[in-house]
Amino acid sequence: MKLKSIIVATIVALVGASCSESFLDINTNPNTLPTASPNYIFTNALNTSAANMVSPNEIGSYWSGQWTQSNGYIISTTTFAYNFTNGDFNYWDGYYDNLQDYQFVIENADTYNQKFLKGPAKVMKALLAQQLVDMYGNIPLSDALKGVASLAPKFDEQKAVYESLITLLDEAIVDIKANAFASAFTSADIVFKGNTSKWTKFANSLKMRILMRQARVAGRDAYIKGEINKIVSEGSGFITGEDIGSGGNGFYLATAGKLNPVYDRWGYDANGAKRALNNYPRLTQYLVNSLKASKDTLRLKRLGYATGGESATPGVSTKAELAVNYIGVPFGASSGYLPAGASALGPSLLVKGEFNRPYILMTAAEIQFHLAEAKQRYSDVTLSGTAKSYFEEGMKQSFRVLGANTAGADAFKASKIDNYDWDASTDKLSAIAIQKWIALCNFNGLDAWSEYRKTGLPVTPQSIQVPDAKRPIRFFYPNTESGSNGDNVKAQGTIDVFATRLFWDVD
Amino acid sequence: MFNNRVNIDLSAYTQRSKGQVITVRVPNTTGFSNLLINVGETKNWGYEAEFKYLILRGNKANWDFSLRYSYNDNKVVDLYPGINEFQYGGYSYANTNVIKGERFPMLKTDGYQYAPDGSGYVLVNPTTGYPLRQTTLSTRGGTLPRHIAGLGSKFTYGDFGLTFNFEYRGGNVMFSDLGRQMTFTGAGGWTSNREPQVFPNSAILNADGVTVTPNTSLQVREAEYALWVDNYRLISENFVNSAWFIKLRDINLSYTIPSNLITKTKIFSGASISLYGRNLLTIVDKKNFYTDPEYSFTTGNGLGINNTGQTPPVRQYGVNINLIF
Repeated sequence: MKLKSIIVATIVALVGASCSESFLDINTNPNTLPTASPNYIFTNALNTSAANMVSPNEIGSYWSGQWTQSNGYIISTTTFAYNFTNGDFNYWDGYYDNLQDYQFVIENADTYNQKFLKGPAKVMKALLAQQLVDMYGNIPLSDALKGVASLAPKFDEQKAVYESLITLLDEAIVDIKANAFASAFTSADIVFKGNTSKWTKFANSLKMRILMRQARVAGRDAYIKGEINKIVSEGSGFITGEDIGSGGNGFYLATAGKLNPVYDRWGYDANGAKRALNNYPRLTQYLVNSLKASKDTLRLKRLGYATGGESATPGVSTKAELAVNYIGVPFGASSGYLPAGASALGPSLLVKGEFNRPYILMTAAEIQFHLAEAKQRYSDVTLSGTAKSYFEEGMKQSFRVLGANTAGADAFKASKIDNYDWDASTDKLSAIAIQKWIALCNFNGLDAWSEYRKTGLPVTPQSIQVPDAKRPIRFFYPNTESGSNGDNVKAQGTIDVFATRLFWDVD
Repeated sequence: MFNNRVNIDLSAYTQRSKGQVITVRVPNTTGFSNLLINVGETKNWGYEAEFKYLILRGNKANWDFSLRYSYNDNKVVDLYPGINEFQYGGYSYANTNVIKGERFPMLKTDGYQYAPDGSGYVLVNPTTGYPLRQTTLSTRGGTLPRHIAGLGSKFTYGDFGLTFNFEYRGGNVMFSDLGRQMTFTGAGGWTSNREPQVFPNSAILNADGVTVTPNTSLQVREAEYALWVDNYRLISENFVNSAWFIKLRDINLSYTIPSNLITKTKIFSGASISLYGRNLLTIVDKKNFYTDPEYSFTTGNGLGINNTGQTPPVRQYGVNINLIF
C-alpha cells in the first residue's frame, strides 16, 4: 500500500515535471549552463587552485636552482636546456579557468546570500593573478572573465595589474570584515574553515608579497611605503606561526584522485605504492652543499631524504640521516646521478601515508621575510618589529614548517655564519634574500623563482645543458591565447624569454 | 563512335557552408574555453573525373579498365570575429588546427630556426653546434589528401577472372610521433651517424641578426646521444613528411568451376574459387620511414598525426571458396 502510493506519487511528479512549460522550450542556450551555488564552486575552485599550482611550482623549483632532475629519466631539455616553445608551460588556460570560478563566486555571492564568500574569492583571485603576472608579464584582467561580453580580452600592463591587485585586496578586506561566515557554510572554506580574521590576515600577507616583489623598481618606494603603512593602520596584521594551506585533513582522502596533489605526483598513490615520478626531482648540489656549508643540516634533513629515499618506515631515509648521506645533483646534469644516489624530496613534503596534508599556498616564514625586507629597505615604515626580529622569526618559522626543531634556528643567533646570523651578516638584504629562497624551497617554487629573478640571489650555477649564461626569465604567451586572441597578444610585442624582463625584474 | 566502349564522367562541385554551428576555441582569458555558436564559414570544392574503357568485348574475353581522379579542397573562410585560429588535436609540439583562410585540418609543428636571409641554412648554437629549435609552431600543410586517383581493371577469360584496384592519395602532410620515439631508442636509421660531425646544412647567425656564416667546422658537442635524443628528436619538423601513397588495395584471381561439372555433383548448383590479396603493396614517400599515412592516432580531428599507439596495417591474402547449393 505504502509502496503503491510512492509509485503513484512518483508518476504524478514525473508527469507534473514533464508538463511544465520548459518541456516545449527547446531553445536553451548551450552557452548558458545551469548554475551551481557559489559555496560548491568555491570549494572546488580552492581544490583546483592547489592542483594547478603544482606544475608552475615545480618549474620554479628548478629554475630557482633548488631542484633538478635525477638521471633515472632522460633529461628534459625543455626544462634544463631552456629549449621550449609557446606550446610549453601553458599554465595560463588552467589559471584562467580557475579564475572564472572565483569570478563567478564574486558575482553571485550576493544573489545566493553567501556574501561571506566574496572576500575570500577576491583574495584567491589576487593570488592567481599575481602568479600569472610573475609567469607571463602583461595579462588580461580588467577585460578578462567576461565571457561573450569580451571575446578578445585586452591585456593590462603588468605594473597596473599589480596595483589593481592591492585595490582588489582592499575590497576583499572590506567584504570579509562585513560578512561573517554562516556556520552552515564554514566547511566550504577549505583554507580557513570560515575564519574571517585569518582571511584578512592572508590578504595583508599577500599584499606584502606583491609590494615587496616590486621593491627594486626605481621610483616605487613611496608607493610601497604608503601601502605598507595602510596595512599597518588597517590593524589586522599578518598570518603568523602557521601556514596558509588548502585542503588538508578531512578533505584529501586516501582515494585515487583525492590525494594531496604533491603527494599524488611525487609521493605515493592511494594504495601506498611509490609513484614512479618519485625518482624525478632531486635537490640540487648547490642547495645541499650550501646548506651543509652553513651548518644548516637540520633543515637539509627535512628538505630532502638521504640517498636511497624514504624507507619502508614513513619519514625515515633508507640511508642513515647523516649529512654525508645527503647528495645533490648538479643543476641540469644528465648522467651520473641515478635516483637512489641523490637526495629525493624530503619529509617536509612527502611522508608515506600523509596524503592529507594541506597544500601550502604561503608560509609564515615567507611573510616574515617580506616584513624583514620591508623594514630593512624602509626603516620609516610603521611596522612594529625590527628587520632583525622579523628575520629571526622567519628563520624560526622556516624550521617549523619544514619540521625541524626550531631551537636550531635560534642556535644561529650569534653563530657568526653569514646570511644566518643577522648581526654578523654583512649584507642584510642578501641575507634576507637567501633565507627567503630557502624558506620557499619545496613549497612555493614559483615564488622562489620570482624572488630569484628579482634579486639574482643566491648565485646558483647555470644548467650543465646550457653553454651560455642566458636563463629564462618568463614564459611565452601560450599558443592557445595567441591563436584565439592574436591581436592582443601581438600588441605585447615580441617576447624573448631570455631578455623581455618583467617590470619588477630590474637586472 | 567508340561502340559504346568509352564512358567519361566529369563533375565539379563547390559548397559554401555559412553560419555553421561549431565549437569555437575562445581565449581562456574570457573565463571559458569554448563557444558553441552558429558562425563560421567554410568552403569545400573540387572536381571528379572518371574514365572507363571497355578494351575488349568478346565471347570469352572481356577487359574493362577505369581511371578515376578527384580533387577535393576546403578552406576556412571565416571564424568568429577576432578569432583567427585554434588548435584541436595532437601534441603541444605538433597539432592540427583550424586557421582562417587556410585548408583544414592544418598541421602545425615546431621546427628548425632558418637563416633569416633566406639562404636555407639551419641555425646552430654557436657554442654547442646543436641545431636551434623554433619557439613557435609553423604551419606545415593540410592533412586531408587533395588528390585521389584510382586505377582499376577487370579481365575475364572464360571461367577465369582477374581484378585489381590501385589507389593514389596525396597532396597532404603527416606527422609521425613514432619518429620521435625511434630517435629516442636509436632505432631510426637516421640516427646511425654518431661520429663527431658538423650538423648538415648549418650556419651561425652573425651579430647583426640577419646574415649568417655557413658552419663548416663547428662540430656538435656530443653526437652519440645528445645530438639525437636531446636535440634532433625535439625538432618536430624532422618527422613531418609528405603523406602520399600508392596502394594496391585489392587483387583477386578467380576461377568459376564450369556448371556442367558442378551439376554432376547433384548437391551444388554453382562453385567458384578465388585467390585474393588486400593491401599487398604500399608505396610511400621516401622520407616516410614510419607508417601507412592512412593511420592516425585518432579518427576525426587528429587526422594526420600518428604515434606508437596504432597497430601497423596488415597485408591480407587468402582463398575464397564459394559453393552454391
